[in-house]
Amino acid sequence: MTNERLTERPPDPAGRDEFASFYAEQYAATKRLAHILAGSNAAAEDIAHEAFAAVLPRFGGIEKPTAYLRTVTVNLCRRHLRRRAGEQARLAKVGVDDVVLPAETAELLSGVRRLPFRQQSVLVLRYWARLPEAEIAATLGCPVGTVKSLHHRAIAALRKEFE
Amino acid sequence: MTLDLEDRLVDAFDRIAARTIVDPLPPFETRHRSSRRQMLLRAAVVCVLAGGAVAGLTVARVEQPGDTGDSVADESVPPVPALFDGPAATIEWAVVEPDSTIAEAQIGSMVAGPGGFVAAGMGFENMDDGQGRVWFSPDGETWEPVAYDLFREQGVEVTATTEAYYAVATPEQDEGDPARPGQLYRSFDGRTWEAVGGARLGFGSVAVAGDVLIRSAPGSDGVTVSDDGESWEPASFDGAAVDGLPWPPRFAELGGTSYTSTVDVDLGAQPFWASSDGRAWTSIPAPSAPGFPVAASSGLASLVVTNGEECTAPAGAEPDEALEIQRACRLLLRVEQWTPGDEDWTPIGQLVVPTAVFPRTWVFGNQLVAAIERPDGGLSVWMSADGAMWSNPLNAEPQPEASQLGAPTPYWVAAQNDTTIVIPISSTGAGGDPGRLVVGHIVDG
Repeated sequence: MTNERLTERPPDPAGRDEFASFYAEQYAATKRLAHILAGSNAAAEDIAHEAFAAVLPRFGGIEKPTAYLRTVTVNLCRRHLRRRAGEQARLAKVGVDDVVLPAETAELLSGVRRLPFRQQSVLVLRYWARLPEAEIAATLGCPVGTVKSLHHRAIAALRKEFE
Repeated sequence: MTLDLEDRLVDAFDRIAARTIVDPLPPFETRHRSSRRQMLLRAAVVCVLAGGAVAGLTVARVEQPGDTGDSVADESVPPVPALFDGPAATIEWAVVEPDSTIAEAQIGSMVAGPGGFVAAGMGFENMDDGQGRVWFSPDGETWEPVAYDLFREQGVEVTATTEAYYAVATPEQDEGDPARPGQLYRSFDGRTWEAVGGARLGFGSVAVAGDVLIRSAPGSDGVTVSDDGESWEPASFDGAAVDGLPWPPRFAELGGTSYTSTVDVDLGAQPFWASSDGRAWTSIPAPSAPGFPVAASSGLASLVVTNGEECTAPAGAEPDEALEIQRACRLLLRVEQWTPGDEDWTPIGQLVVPTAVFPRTWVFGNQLVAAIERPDGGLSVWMSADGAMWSNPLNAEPQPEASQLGAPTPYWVAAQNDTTIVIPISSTGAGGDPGRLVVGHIVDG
């Protein structure tokens, strides 16, 4: 790990080992979250690194770095998908671009990807990350009631299509 | 065997995660650029703002000094002024099952105002999908739906001054768009509503400091104030830009001065501010950790969550494991007090409660009132006149479906006037368990 290019709030030397441990512990989960939301292994790697880069300058000052990292990761995925809006239609047809999945699963994921991003995020944070609603709300920056609403609508839309 | 939809989602997400290339662990490089980092930070701020800050909603697991629900007096605190001048009032608590469509709703906000109370949220009566609803109550127990056609298909939040109720309504189809428009409505009686303001508001919440409307709009034009909802101007915070107000915005009123906190993700804490007019805010000392301040007789009090291990299931944990982690959570809430002129907040007591959710606090009948969501989905009310000795006068049992659906959110909203406090327990949704109301009445004092 290097930090010589940081110009603001570099972590003190004593914090480097702590951040290195944090990185080692959280990298896999962060990249998996980015992979599911962004739909690409390659994009997930960039997003994960960028998310950790966002955490690093303020690591030690953040009370809950894992939660902060998750929020940044979700936001980066949203930005990534917006930038690739032109490609999303293609992704929606095949599910995930670099993973071969059973047809039924790919079809379901295509349905998920057609949902608004926040509904997708609620589903992923709930059914993959297994987060409680309060933490999903904190991650997405919305009231818990909105999480319930987003989840309700997402499930209703998927049921209509797949059940 | 055919899997249901939720099981299929778990399976699908797990299949992708299993195919994520994560081995070997790549070296970390700080390859970001400053401008890019600022953009990232702004994106993160939007999320941090609205959630009462990430720290405000994250949870802590601490050593439990005794059995479930123990309260512990801190014997090491120095003498400080009593929180309240007068004796604690006698409060009668009841769990009310309302005979109204509000029983089929998920309540998102509730406020006391002229002539009673107004609640807003999502109604589920006669439909599978929730739609925006507003209700009025003269007494906190009997509720009637109002302005059905005006607020249906909209998300609504309400607030009130001493003269009027205000509601910010956002069309449902725009939900999820950070730049979603919202329209401000006003009512002088809680029943009849009219649109105010020619320009539509951007995403954000509106609250009241003193008698001034304050709007926090994350990611756009920061914090703005208005006397009437028509014209808005920027608020000043020691001349500095602030990232916004925690959600929901909330103000403590003491001696003609309003107090609140703002969000600063760089600090990882919530700066505190005071203002006599709602427009110009001056920095004051902040508690040791984020909390929701309330005004007592002698100053401010805040229940803050002390540092502890997160009650967060690791990514990929089995549902049973995640549930067990939440059920094992204990929040150690330290009560801190600040009197105008003090250089710092003083710890005056603590409360240890079994919950994974940051509690909300009110002052009612010369006592601190904290609503705690229990791990089983029930609601516990805790009260203290001095911040040190706590009692637990009411426990509302959980709804049958609460454990499956995730508990409702009674802790987020409550409304009170001088005689009544109402804490709603939301319905579990369409066709689910009906909601209830925890109502406290002052019977003397």
